[in-house]
Amino acid sequence: MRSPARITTLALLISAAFVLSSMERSLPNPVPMVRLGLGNIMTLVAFVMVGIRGGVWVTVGRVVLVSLVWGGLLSPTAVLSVAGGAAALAVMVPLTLMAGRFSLYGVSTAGAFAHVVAQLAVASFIYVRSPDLFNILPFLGAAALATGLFNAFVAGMLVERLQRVPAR
Amino acid sequence: MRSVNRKGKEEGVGGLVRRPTLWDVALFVALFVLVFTIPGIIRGEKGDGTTLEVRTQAGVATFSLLEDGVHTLSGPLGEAKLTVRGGKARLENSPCPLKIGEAMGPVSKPGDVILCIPNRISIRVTGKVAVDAVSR
Repeated sequence: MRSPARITTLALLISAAFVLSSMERSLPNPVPMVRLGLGNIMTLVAFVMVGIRGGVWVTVGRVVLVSLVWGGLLSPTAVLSVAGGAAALAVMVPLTLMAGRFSLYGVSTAGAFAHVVAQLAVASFIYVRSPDLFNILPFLGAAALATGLFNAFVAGMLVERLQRVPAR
Repeated sequence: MRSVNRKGKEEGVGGLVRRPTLWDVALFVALFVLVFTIPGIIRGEKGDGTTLEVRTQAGVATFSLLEDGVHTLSGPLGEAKLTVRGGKARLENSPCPLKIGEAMGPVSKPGDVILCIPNRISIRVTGKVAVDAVSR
């Protein structure tokens, strides 16, 4: 299970996820609080290329790296990132196990939705201590569903191209 | 480039790469409905939008949306100004790095919110009768 090819693939996917997340954070954000969640593309690719464990490792790696670089392990950024990542995985893993029924689109949109809800819940009850935050769920949730579809589309294209590379 | 384990067996969940299925569509519709119903379940308040409920680390304060004024709100990052003018409220001079709270305003309708998570400030328009008060 710990073949060099697998470890190399995972390292590349984690690096790519971190770069995409960092790029997204450093670019100007035209719509407050809405993020594309580009890092999740690599989790989806990992589910297809290296399996569910691989996807989990990519998410964990991305969250740890993003937290360390963009705010510190106990910062609100890190706590929200961990909450969002954990919730997304909690939803995406069971759906991935039902791969015959759901495609990348279902997995991605459900993960994006869970990510937003978990972050709103944590921000509501730890930082703001008010359920007011959930008033913006329609806006953030609809955006998450749209970005989930976009990420699934990109992940599907990436997988198709990567699968043309012969296995060694 | 599909990963192969030592026994030569392919890893990965190849069945995910396909066109959207009916299950995907059903899931999407369910999530779309949830997005719009969850806030109503958590807070179903409706009203005429006359009061601002402001939560900071110090506690909960209410301000009238009908009276113009500037209120100072304190948080762990510093002070921000809540400006009420013409029945609309907006956050100004926020010390938050991304200034998301400033970008979210102005607010005037019940349920509208301004949030500044790093500075732990939330402002919500409610339909309650305006009474200037602070509860801690």
